[in-house]
Amino acid sequence: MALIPSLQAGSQFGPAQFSHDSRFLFTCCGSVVKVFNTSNGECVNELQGHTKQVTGVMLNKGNVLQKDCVAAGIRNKLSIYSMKTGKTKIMHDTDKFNRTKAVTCVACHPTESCVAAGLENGRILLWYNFLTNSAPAMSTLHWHSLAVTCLSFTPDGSCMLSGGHECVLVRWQMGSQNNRDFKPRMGAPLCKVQSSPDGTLYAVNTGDNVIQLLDIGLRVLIVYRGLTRCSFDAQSPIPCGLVYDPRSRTLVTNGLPGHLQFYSLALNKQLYNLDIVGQNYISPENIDRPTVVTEVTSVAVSHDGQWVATFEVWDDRIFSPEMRLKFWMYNSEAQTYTLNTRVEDPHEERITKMLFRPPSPNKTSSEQTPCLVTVGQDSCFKLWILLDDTDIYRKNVRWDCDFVGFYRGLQGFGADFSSDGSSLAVAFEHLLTVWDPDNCVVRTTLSNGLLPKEDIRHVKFGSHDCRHQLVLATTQHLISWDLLSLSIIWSMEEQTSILIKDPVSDLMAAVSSNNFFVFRPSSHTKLYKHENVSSSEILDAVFAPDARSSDLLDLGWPGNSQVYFYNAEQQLITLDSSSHQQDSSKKTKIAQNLPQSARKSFLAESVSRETQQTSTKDTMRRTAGQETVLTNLLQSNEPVSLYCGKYLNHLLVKKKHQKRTASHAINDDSESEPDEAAEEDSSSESEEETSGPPSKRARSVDDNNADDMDKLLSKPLDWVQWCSSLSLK
Amino acid sequence: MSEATDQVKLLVHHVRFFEFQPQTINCIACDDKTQRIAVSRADGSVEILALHDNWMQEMTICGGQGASVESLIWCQGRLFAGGIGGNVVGFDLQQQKPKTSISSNAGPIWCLTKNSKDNKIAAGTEDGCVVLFDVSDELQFLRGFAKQEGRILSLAWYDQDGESIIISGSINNIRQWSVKSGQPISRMTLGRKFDQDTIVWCVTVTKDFTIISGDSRGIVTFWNGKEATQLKTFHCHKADVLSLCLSEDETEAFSGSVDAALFQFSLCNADHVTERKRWVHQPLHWRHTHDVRALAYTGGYLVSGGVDTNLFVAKLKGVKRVLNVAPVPKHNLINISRESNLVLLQYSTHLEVWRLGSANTPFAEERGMLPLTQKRLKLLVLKAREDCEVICSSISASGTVLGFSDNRGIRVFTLTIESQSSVTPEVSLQRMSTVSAHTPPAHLMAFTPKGSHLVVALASGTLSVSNLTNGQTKLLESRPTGWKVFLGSAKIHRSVSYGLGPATARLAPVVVLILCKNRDQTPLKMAVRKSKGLMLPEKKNYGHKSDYVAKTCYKFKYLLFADFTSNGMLVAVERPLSQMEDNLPPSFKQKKFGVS
Repeated sequence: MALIPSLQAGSQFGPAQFSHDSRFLFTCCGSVVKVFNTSNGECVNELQGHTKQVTGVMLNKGNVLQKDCVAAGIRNKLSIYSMKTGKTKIMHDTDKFNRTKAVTCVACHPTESCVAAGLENGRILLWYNFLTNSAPAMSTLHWHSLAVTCLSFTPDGSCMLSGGHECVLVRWQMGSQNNRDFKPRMGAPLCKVQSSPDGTLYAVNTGDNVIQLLDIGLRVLIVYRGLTRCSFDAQSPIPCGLVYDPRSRTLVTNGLPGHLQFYSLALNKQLYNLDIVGQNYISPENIDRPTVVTEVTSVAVSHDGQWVATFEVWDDRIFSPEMRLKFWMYNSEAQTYTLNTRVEDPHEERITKMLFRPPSPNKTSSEQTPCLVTVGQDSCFKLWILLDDTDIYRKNVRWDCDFVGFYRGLQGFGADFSSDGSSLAVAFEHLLTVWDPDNCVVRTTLSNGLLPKEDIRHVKFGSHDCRHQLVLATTQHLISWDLLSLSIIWSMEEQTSILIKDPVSDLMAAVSSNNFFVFRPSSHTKLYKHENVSSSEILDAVFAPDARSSDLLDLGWPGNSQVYFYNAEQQLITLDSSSHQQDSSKKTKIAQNLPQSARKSFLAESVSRETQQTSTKDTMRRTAGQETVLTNLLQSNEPVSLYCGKYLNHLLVKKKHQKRTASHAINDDSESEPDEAAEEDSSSESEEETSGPPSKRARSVDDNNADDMDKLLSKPLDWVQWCSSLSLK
Repeated sequence: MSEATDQVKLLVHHVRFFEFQPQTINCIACDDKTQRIAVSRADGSVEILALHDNWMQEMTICGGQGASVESLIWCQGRLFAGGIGGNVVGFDLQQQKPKTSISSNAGPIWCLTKNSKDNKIAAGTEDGCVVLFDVSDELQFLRGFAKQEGRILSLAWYDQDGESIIISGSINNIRQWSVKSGQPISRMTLGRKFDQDTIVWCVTVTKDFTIISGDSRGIVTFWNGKEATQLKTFHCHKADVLSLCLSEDETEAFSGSVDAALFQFSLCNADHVTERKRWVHQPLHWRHTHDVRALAYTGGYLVSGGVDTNLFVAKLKGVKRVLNVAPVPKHNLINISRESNLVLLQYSTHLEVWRLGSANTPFAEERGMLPLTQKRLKLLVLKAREDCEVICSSISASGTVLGFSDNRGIRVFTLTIESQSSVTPEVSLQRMSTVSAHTPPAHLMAFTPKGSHLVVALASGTLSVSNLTNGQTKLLESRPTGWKVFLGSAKIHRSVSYGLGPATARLAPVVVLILCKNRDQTPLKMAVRKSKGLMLPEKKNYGHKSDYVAKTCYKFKYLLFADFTSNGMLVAVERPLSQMEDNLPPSFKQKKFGVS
């Protein structure tokens, strides 16, 4: 079966567009257009069809707004094209453009003849009078210290929104331009800002691949997060690589500066951000000289997900670097990680490799002492263990250094624990040492005599059937050792950049120059090979145990794990069968989740509530029905008299109605029920698939009711009479 | 001597001890007909500059001690001033002196305005009274309006369609006064900031009765005059708005403030569908370093001045540029005696005679500063008569005769210096009896090279030549307009500071001899000392330029004076800008982003 690389996440959100009624937000994301609900932040739909990157979304505004002129900024000129007269006027007053400062963004006032241009130096110029023959008037607004990246007017033209690298959204009152409101600490430089057609919501795209929805009080209502892009260091966006967290089934990697992001693969969205360094990101004074931030360069997650170890570095190459090792414990009550131990300068140099010791199958969990190994560039490795730190005030534990190991003063590189945690292999340049982590003695030293002086880059113990085998990746070769016989099983020439192992099987995989292959430590045959996985360099890869591809088990590969790649374009790529990819596309739920008016929404909700009454098992998603009906009604502008009858009817004749629709409804629900029960704890996707048929039916009922309503509306409305007539039916 | 390889070697007396201090500009008024502007300074002097002569300083009317001019206004080609003294003063521009003076009877005058027919002026006074004067013939007191509480700091006269209303800016409010009845018609109240009184520093009115006011909060407000309601406010200045002015077509307004910024307000179409108009503000320039006290608009130029003593002229039409008219007087404040190494410095109320330092003749290759063998020495301080200001002064080439003129007349002295080169020379001064004590004051004066005659340009426009030995005086020429006399002589290479372009401090007085034929300033004759590193102004045609070798030296900045002594040394008098600024009050502090 063919596996093809497919984009899992990491597509950048394009500029956001509101729907006419401001209830939905459209944004392009990779090859799909995502539709978000602006009231609850849910991704309600993904519009597919494009095979390549979607670059922009624009709603057909029809006659809603007739633009009079189009403005475009080209370097230091501003050209304004009048739609009515067909004239183009180019403004290039060098004096007023502050000596050839490039225009970075432009916006047209919706009602008045005014064009705003944002400049490289942070000024915003407002041009008036440009369509007449007299000299145009220009006023300057200056708050931004760095380039203005986005500008937008609100639909009524009373305010202007601007954003830049300062991570601050500025709202200017057009009447009195000294009155401005700020929304600071947006997290990342602003890329795009847009106001909803009714002017009540602002959508802000920030550089970390987030769309934030703000209300007019500049409070953040909803945050739509994609895979956070680290726009601050383009060379190595994820210095700590990809780590799989088995507890939350998420990928852990770098997010915002000084943060870790937990990206759920099943839900395909970011679960949460963990602030590691606790420092606010401050935009630089000069965009060409970014400020040095504290970076998380290494992370390790324990096998039960209870502990996370992080290593952070601040190094501006002028002062001595600051290095810190932190241990975070998962607090199941607070559902978050709390800082347990903080070690300043754990090594004299940076830590290159860090991992927890896997639990031994022979011991009970209470006998296990959690243990972490760190390998630094100061040619030693350290073992850290959990100690009891209970005093009279509280019960507590802390981490401390247990052992410092070094070997002939050689530089340490990779390290790995055997799958039962009984051995620790540490690579020192071209030598491999195997240690007993309990007694801290060298068991044996392996040297690949055939291939002298090649530095070892990666070390991995085999697991399951191959647990006595050890795979080494040197700069040029891939070698497999048998630790029982202390002999080389096989070796092959391969410039391996990444070596990973599957936690649930004995498979291993390696990446060498964008080629990916899967093998077992016991044999040098490549089980699977895929060339050119990604268009750009693969920075890291990880196996994630996933039930999704269980139907492919019989191949031997892929097994129970899905492999994910992170490339230099900051995209997360997975290998997927083509058929599976088709299936995984979300089903359209437009009818259910895209009501066009309060009336439709009420009708749709009332029907879905009725179907819920019949089903014995309620899913979480459907319980909110009644509340939303009421809130929809309360928020709608349409006269209450239209709904009163229907709503009362809906309460009064519940049982009767149920009977009326029972024959229709029960069939569907009885079909869907067992499915849901069976896949209760599986991914939510299957759940969504089953919800397809009822929604279709709901729409048809909805249409019938709408017809009913229309008939009623044509008559003089006496809703009490109407109610009674319905109940008589 | 080829030009390219020619390196002129020149001994220069670099004089930096002349403590010239220009004065703050208080107000500016422009006469649209003749395109002249009158500028008053803090010492009470009034300068008149002409636009058509490239902002040349045509005359200076000395104020005398204690004089103050708070407001100036032109009426039918005549200039009137009001000041702390409480008098409205009319000037005689021919004689360059105040002519008539009438008291306001209501305390110090802060502001003046005139009606559209140019026959009445109104003065706003400390006592809160608007006082009318008739200027159709002679300056006459007409009447005073009802008194109000608080001083009147600004006035504007709305005189359209038979309606005659005076708008006065006071403290916390703006009032409209009916000229007919002398009673207030309506009142517009301004808000207060931090519970402080809001002072309306300036007010102006357009033909469609839009009142524009600038106040101490830094706000420029546009009012509908008929309904006395606010149209729009601009909070563009960070400190008090001190001055406002309107362009001729009244589509542009300008404001100047304590924060040294100038803003331009343009009347723009709000959209191109309706006829709706609205005011839009834009910055004009930030060339001032201190408070902008006064603004005037004439013929497409905006003239602004203030505490930093510079006059900036912004060209608003066509290619926009800003010109700096330096506060350096047209006439020489510095005279050298060419043969005796003396320099005469003219201050406002006294004269100083200095002996310049001397050094050994340098070696051929020596460059840079020479060590002095004799230091400079102040020989003499000569004070003017009490209550008088020195108008002009001169010293003869030999250094034996010096003369000056103050408000009352000319005085000539003989200067004798015993043991000239010693460390402490003996100086004695004797009044020359041959010059009458009752001569009228002069504008310019010069001695003939041998010191035998004194040539004087009198205030009346007469050129008189006095023989110093026998006291005979000959009137050479008399002109009715008489305010352009330039003195010089072909033989002595006498330098004349000639109004070539604005007297910017950067542009040195030209070391050329110029005799002016008449008002159009065509040079009759001139001579330039060849290959001596002279500074020639560009863009002026001096006939056959190829006859002269001109070199420009940019070493000196803010040069007030340059001339050669008889032994070929250049005396350059420099007054660094920083030293002049040190004596000014501190400018308005503004927080700048990224600057601590």
